[in-house]
Amino acid sequence: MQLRTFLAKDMKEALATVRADMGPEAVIIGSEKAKSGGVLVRAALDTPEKEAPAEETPAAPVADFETHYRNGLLRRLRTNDTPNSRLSFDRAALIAALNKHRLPDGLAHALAESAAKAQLTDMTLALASALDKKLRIQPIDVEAAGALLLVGPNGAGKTAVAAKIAAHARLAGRRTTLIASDAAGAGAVARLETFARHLDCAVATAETTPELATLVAGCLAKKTFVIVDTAGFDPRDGKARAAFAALAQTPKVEAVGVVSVLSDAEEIAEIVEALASLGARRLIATGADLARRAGALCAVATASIPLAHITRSPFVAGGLDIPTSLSLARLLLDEQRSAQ
Amino acid sequence: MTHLTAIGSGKGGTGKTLIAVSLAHALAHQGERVLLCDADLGLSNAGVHLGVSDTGDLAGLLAGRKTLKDATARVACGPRDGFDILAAPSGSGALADASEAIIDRLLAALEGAPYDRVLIDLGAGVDETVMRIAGHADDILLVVTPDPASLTDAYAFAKLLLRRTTTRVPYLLVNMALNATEGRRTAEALIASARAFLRATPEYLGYVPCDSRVPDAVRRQTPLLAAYPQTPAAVAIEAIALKLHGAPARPLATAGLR
Repeated sequence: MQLRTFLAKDMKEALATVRADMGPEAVIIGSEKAKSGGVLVRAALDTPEKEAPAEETPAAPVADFETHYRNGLLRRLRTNDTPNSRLSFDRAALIAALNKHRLPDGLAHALAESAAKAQLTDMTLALASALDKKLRIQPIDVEAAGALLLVGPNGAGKTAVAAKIAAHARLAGRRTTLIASDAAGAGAVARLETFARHLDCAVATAETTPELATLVAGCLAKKTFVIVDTAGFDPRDGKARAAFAALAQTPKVEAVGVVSVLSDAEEIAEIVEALASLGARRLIATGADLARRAGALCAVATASIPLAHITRSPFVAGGLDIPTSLSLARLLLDEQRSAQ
Repeated sequence: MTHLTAIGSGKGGTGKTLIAVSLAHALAHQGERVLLCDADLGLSNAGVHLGVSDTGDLAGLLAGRKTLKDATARVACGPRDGFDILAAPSGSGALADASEAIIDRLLAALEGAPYDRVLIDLGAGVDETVMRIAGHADDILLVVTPDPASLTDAYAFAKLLLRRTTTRVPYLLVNMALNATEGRRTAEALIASARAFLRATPEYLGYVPCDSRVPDAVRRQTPLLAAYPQTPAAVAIEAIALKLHGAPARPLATAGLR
């Protein structure tokens, strides 16, 4: 293929030059306004294929969602060993396992008690049944959700969670706006903007609470999904609480607490309860891939407000998982099972 | 069934190997069992990008000395995931003049491999080896840059592919684009040429922006997605991997903790 680029003062002149230099068979394959004025035109010329293949051969579909989904499920069912009769129930062993994961003492004993009552011979299933009574899971429905306000301590991963939720919303075909109410933090807005550009979302910043309320109301009126990213703070600190109580009062906004499970279980339990008292209605637990001890994760999962998702990947597209009592039970007893 | 995805470019230096390595990483992360095969048989360098010393023994496999299982090496990219790699030792030139029979043996081995996807990093150029493998793949990802020479070489690749297979059209990925507009423009130029002269319409998968973190990760011989998982180029590659993988639009309850 011959490829030539022409600079001309307007399109008409460009076309004439292309015809003159390359002949009538040439095809314009691109044009843009030149920085110096005028137009930049790119033209190509090739001998057309004699026997043209079927007109407009459609590209193969990228992937068949259903097939992938089904194969993925089948693979999981086949490879994941089923919990059947892997470990037989032993109260002392269960408490030892929970202690090893640094669960708060009260929670570990309550779980062991409840697991014993289940009268199941399989320890994993018994623990799952105990967890099931305590666990409240309420995933975010990105197709129906209105406005989310992500709150939590510094470094919990609020911005990354905002990007992850936005990615899911975009995949579900929702228009999405990301709002930074953390305009002061160094690079906070820039980071959100980078994510937004790749996810094809709008970005806005709100300096004050009334400004935020106006922005949110505007988006909701257009049925746009809104995710508000906020500055990190300690929810147990009086001054910070007062500032955030005002933010959480923004009309029609659901506050979602974001906490990292890479922390002490008791510490995280306090933070979660403080967030709940500030008006957070759900939780997202981050960093589950990094934590080797699941105590904090269990503390978050059994908190007074429901858990929406856990994240276990630094990748924006590596999404928001939904924990189940069985998956948690398996995680807690993993070492015991592999030891056997 | 194993899905063979070949990654080609025509012109060299388009960042094909980086794209191949990063896609392998991203797809593995999305739960696929991935094998990355460096089919640049003369000069293999996927291992150099990854900074690993064991890149498997492609020569051993082709000579019949090893089974596929023994010829691959594991590349861990996190505590829980990773992918397998199959390449000739870097710089060995061991397979520079592979015959057709050898290529067919490689393809037969890859087709029956126990993976969800085999990513094949093709060599530069449009020679018989490259086109033979590309013609055999289930889909072909053509890596283009905004450089006009890359455009003409990619066009030549698409043309030869179409001649060989009569129906196969590659997907386009624009690498090293300044921004979304340049990415789209580059893809549109190639699509317009293919429409006009080949009567075929390649599909645009997306672009990967110029990003100073990319040469930095390459210099450090660390996979981009491990070194800078949230840098713009890594986010873009992740998004393209998601398109290839056909990820579900909603988080799945089955994607549990393990």
